[in-house]
Amino acid sequence: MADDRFGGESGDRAQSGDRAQSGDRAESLLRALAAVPVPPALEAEISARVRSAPPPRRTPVRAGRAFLALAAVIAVAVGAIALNGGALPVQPAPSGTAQPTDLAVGPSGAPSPAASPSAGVSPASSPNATPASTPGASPVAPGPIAAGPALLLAGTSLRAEPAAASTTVRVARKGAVVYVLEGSVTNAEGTWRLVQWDGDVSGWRVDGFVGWVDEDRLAANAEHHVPSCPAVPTLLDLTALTAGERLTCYGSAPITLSPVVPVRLHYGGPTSVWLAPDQQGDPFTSIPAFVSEGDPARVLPMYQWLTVTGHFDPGAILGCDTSAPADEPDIDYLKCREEFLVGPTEPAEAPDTVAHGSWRTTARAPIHGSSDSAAVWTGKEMLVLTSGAAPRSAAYDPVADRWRVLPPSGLGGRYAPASVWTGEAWFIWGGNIDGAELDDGAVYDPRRDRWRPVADAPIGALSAAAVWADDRVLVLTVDGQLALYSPPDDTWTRLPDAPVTRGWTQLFWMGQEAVALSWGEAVAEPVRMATFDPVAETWSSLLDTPLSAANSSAGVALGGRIYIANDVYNQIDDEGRWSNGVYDAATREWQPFRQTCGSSAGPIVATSDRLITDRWLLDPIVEACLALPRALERANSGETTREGPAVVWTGTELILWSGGTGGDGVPPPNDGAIFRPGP
Amino acid sequence: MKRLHVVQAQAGDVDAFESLVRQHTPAVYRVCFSLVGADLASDMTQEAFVAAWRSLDRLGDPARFGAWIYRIAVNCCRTSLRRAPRIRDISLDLNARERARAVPTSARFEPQVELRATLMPALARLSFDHRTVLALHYAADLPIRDVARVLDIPEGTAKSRLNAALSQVRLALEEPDRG
Repeated sequence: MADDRFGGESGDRAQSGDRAQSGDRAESLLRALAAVPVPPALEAEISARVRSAPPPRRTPVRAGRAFLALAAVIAVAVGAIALNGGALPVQPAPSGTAQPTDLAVGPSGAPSPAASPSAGVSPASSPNATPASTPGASPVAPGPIAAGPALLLAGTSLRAEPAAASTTVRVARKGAVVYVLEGSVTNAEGTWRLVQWDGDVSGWRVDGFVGWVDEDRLAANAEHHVPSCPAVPTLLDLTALTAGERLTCYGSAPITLSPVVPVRLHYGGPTSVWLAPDQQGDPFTSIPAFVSEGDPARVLPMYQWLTVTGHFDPGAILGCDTSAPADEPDIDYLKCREEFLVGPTEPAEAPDTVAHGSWRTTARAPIHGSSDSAAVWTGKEMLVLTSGAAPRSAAYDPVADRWRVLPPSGLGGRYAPASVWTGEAWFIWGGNIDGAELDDGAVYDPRRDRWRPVADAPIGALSAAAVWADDRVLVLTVDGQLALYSPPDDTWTRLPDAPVTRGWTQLFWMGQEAVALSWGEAVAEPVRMATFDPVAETWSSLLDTPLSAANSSAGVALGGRIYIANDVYNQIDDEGRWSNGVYDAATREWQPFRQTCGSSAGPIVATSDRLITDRWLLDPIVEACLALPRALERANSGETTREGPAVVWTGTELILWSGGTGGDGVPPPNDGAIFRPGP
Repeated sequence: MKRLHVVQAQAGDVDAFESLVRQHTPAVYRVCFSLVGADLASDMTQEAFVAAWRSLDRLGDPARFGAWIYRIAVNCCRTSLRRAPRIRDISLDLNARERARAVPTSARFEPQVELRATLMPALARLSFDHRTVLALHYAADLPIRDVARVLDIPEGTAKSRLNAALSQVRLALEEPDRG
């Protein structure tokens, strides 16, 4: 665990041994990066900001199911007192494996609230667990746990080794729920327990920690926490529990889950196979699975719908070494206990939360692949313009499955131009290349198969967003310059500047007005918005939205609303700002948007009444999400990932073209895929 | 001592955190410099440390602070790029290459001049993931196994990314005008 080699400037050149010593120019230049001078005032600036920032906060929690479960846990835990008279009710399991027991750490002598009544079965693997019995606790309402300084318990140090002189891993916080992971170890300094607080060791909750605590100290500061354990848990139920709660509830009791899908997810921990509710999976809706790589009988049919029977806490089965010395806990051992050991499987029907429909590939394009290509749908063809120094453009007809190369646009290389389909032509303007912002553009007329340049714009060369506003193109630069472009006349009209904050800006046309979302340049600032009335040619004042600028800005307008859907559920940060939200142009109000689909590598596009990405199809009104079937594997890769693909909705189908494969040196293939939703 | 500073900082000791800032700022800044360029590197370094300060409670093992702060910095840089035009990934001096060509030969190979004029445009062509492994390996001077730990990827993946990234940099340096 020790990681002191990440020691700032000290480096580790001598240890690396794996750096090529070719002495070539590339490496010589790259090594010079380690000597880049640091601005002299930087440390002082950081210190000033740190001193003006709030102190370290409590462990943040996620909104949604997991949040609700944890909120209930904390409601039980906060203010708890020791009830056990110093004796920890942790008993060895029949298998000989010490069972985890949830303990709520609280200050000795503090008032004790009530335990939440268990809605399901009693914890299976903590037979001596004693629910806290003091009545009167009120449930914690959904919402963020208030941020503030942690309440530290002097002396309740969790240590790296079972010894008082060992390094302190953490001083436990009042209200923290810890899990006893290991039986006691007695040495000259006392009796010790290995506990885990928050997180898990299976991969994605990397902020959890494991440490030893003096048993007497723990007993004096803790009481039992009884999680709610559904008697017949579904995958949804299990993902609402933390890893320790799952162990507490079910121990190694058999559980049948159906339908679930084994998927591969890599979140940094040792677990790569997860049981997911769909063919995509994410750590919020999936559980880590234990599969023996070497046993063919236990190789799971990946990405197939299955009924799976298995259990947590696999103990000595298949390589989980429960005989490991108790004072030398091994992370693999802990991992094994948290993972779901997959037993018998049977094919299962896909649930009705999976979108009907199918994928097919497109013909390979006659131009090179590219990430972040500009793309529009004309009604018959998808038009794409690749990004980069040498842009190429082509048109794809999905009915004929045929590409055609467009004539040269005359545009120089560029990234991220504004791109709009006007109903008759394709408007491309601006962008940037080699650090320079561009102020030229071109219009492509598919009927004539011809490009023409756009007249000189009355706005500066800055990155811009553009929308088709009934009969004109509305172009807004990141510093708020606004202009209308009329394609038939090839003329521009300068309009009043928008009161946006400089930084990434989005523009949405809502039918009668435009909405600019200004994401600013500082993550700490809120996302702001302003509306433009094209009749009065006036902007509203700049208003704060409830959105957090810390997120990316995946958004789309549909049916008079703007949907910002960055993440699964709606994550709420310490400032109370949301990752997701929906703006209703009629009421001019923002509401939380609890999309349950998860994130997406590609942009969100609107159908006539749904939102769709490469991963999911969402009815935003009822917030009902359907997972798309697993996409087809890429042309030059076994992966399905498409980073920054060109995406259009044709009215009946979703077309994805090119995009990165995930960053392992494979250039974006010029392949495409089409998803056609079924009935 | 480093771990003690982390533990003290987790308890709210801002002086202890400043010790960590002093210790890690140079490497974190250089990683950010490699990822987002000189214009944004200071801001992203600040963002990373402020985020770390506010989230110290989420750091389970104090001994992992080093890896953690790199990871936060990388995430800050990645987030900034999502909201910025792509080429400003590596914000360059305008026409830096041309300016460098005008620099007297004796000074042209001064590292900073060549870095900004030659290496940074080459890095700008790489994917963020590839730039990240280069930044951590070269700018922060981390061995591959630690790069892998920071990024939570297998060591083999880190090696393959590094090799691929190096190849692309070499190609870009050989063909500076090919995009």
